Amino acid sequence: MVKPKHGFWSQIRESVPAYLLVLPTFAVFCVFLYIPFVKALRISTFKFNGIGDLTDYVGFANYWRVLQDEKFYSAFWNTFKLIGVDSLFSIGTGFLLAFVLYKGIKLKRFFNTALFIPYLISMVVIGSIWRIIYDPTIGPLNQFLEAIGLAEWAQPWLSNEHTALPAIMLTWIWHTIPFNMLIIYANLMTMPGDFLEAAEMDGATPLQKLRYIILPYLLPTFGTLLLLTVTTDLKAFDMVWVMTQGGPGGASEVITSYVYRKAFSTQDFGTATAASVIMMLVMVTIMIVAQLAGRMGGKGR
Amino acid sequence: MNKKALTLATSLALVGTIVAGCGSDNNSAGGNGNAGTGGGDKDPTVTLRLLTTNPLVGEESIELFEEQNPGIKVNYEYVPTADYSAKFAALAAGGEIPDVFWTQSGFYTDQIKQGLVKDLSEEMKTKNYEGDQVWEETFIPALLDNARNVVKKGLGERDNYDYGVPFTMTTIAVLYDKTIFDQLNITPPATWDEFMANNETLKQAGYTALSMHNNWIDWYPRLFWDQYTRDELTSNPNAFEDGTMSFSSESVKQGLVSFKELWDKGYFPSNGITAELQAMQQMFVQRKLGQFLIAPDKLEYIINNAPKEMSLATYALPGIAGLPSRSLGGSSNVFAVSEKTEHPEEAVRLLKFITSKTHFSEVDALKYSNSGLNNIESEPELEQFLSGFTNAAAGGFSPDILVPTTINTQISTAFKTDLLPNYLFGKISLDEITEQLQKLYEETTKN
Repeated sequence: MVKPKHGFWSQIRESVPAYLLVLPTFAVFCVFLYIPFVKALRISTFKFNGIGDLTDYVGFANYWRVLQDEKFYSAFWNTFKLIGVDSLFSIGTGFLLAFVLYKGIKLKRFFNTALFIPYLISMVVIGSIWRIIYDPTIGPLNQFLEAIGLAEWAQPWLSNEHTALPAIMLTWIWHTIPFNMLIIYANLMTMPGDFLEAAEMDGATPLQKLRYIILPYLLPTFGTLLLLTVTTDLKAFDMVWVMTQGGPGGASEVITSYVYRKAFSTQDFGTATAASVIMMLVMVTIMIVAQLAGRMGGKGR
Repeated sequence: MNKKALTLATSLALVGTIVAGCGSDNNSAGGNGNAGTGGGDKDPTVTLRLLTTNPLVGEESIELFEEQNPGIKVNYEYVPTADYSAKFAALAAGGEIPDVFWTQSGFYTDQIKQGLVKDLSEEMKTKNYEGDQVWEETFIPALLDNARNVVKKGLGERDNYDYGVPFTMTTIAVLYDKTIFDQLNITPPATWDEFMANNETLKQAGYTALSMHNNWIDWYPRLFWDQYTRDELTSNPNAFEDGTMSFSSESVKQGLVSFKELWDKGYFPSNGITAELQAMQQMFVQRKLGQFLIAPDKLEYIINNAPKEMSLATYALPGIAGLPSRSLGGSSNVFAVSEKTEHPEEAVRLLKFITSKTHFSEVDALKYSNSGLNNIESEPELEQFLSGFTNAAAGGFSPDILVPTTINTQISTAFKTDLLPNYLFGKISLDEITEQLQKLYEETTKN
């Protein structure tokens, strides 16, 4: 009778092909993620202008400097405003559009494609187009407002400290709605028809079907979309930079533009890297909290 | 067993591919590498890299240079001024500084301090590009002094101040449309009061009176400081360094107050804080902007796109405090050679070409610019149109670093993108902006 091999080394030997398959990915992660991350951690403890060697060790002074900078908190707050508004309106509108498509309308295929187009356009192009739309002199938005007798509403949307961030948010939401719509629509299409048929036989009204069947069915999808929205919006940069560069006077500064400005405009790479590390810690914390909340929600159900 | 062997072979192939991909091919000619001889050992062509934010040094210039210097190939790269800082920092971090590059006060002194710029003092005493004069002597002396003063002010007394050479004599003047002025019955102002009266007339007639955009937002305060602080800084040029003056000095505050007054009166475009230069150019050709404070190298778009009925002219901005007006600019465009260039001789030759009579007289794009060279004359018609710039230059130049908001990138960025906009919005007070500037100045210059 052959004794089965259960020793550590024999298990390792058995798994060599698997390790070799993982190795390329691991190598890529090391080269492009882990090693730069460790280097970034090191840079964050030096006064460094991006040129030459790291010689001026300052310990945690860069972190302290970032945490004392009210512009950093303002940028963080703006980022979370964007996340909040985007989550609410983009997922909400995405659901409404998906629901309309699910219920069936004429030219459904056309609308399905047409509504998805904004998501296919690059952020930089969208930012440039909307920058022109918002232009106070040559922009069609103000011209439209003037044409319909609302001239007093016309203003420099991107240069007004009160409207710059909302204007960016609107553009951002316009861009993200199609993705949310598509995911929700795909989930609606895979919803088993039995649920709705049973509800119909029990005499449920359309509103009751929505409230007690469709929305609970989509709840995990909303959770996933919320998580994706948070992670995407925390990285928001290109559109903001193209439209306002975080201006005027920091009114639309988000955390990524803050980091970029510190690194490339003021050449303070040490502080910029410290801000990036703090941002990463916040992202990881959000992820962990979201995972825990998801698990607790799952157990509750 | 076969399945296992197949998996193993696939894994090894994948690892091999990754390793091969990560390796460098020493035989290939790297497109992004430092200057080198292109096309292998047999080809004697030297390849130089040139980085510029100044569109006047463009493809036409490079074509002409390559045509006249068959052994030298130039890889030319243009970046907008707003992106220069990021671009240069990335190149420097990667050890990829171009052989010849554009720079400006703020960046320039930092680059010298970091040993990135070649000392050109010996080369300046050699023959110019055409070989008929000493290179140094081809420049208008005031322009060269202006460039040297930037180094002196930023780095203190040293043996040599020639690390870069000025390209064009930048002057700023006010561009306007004569037909609009005639319609409104106004004339180019000779005094500040006349200027303000014109602004009001233009505003009442529905025009945006004055240009402003994000990258040049500090021009007005700097012009005002040149007037208000001139006496103090002429008698003691090191007043900021020795603490005699600070950002809280009355004359400095006065410059900021005057700028805010213009803003509060509504003479600037409402989008001026975030607008790009192009937005102002478009407004001007659409006849929505009455007066455009501009440098001559940015005129080309307007001249090419101005409606036929437009009649363009320029005048020098009068001094706000009644002193003779001086222009900003001077040597605000500097070209330098990288300390690490592998081809210093060729790089210097390119630099000599950029600042040569040949370049200025044979490249069309340069016809609106003031070469800053001794030996070039413009066409009479053009001379008349550009008279505002000529008059502005005649008054001399405000030093590049006067009230030191341009002394380094940290102060300059904070001033232009944060403090000044928030001061105009009324979110921070006059005392707050001056205190913050002083704090930044002390923090960033203490070493």
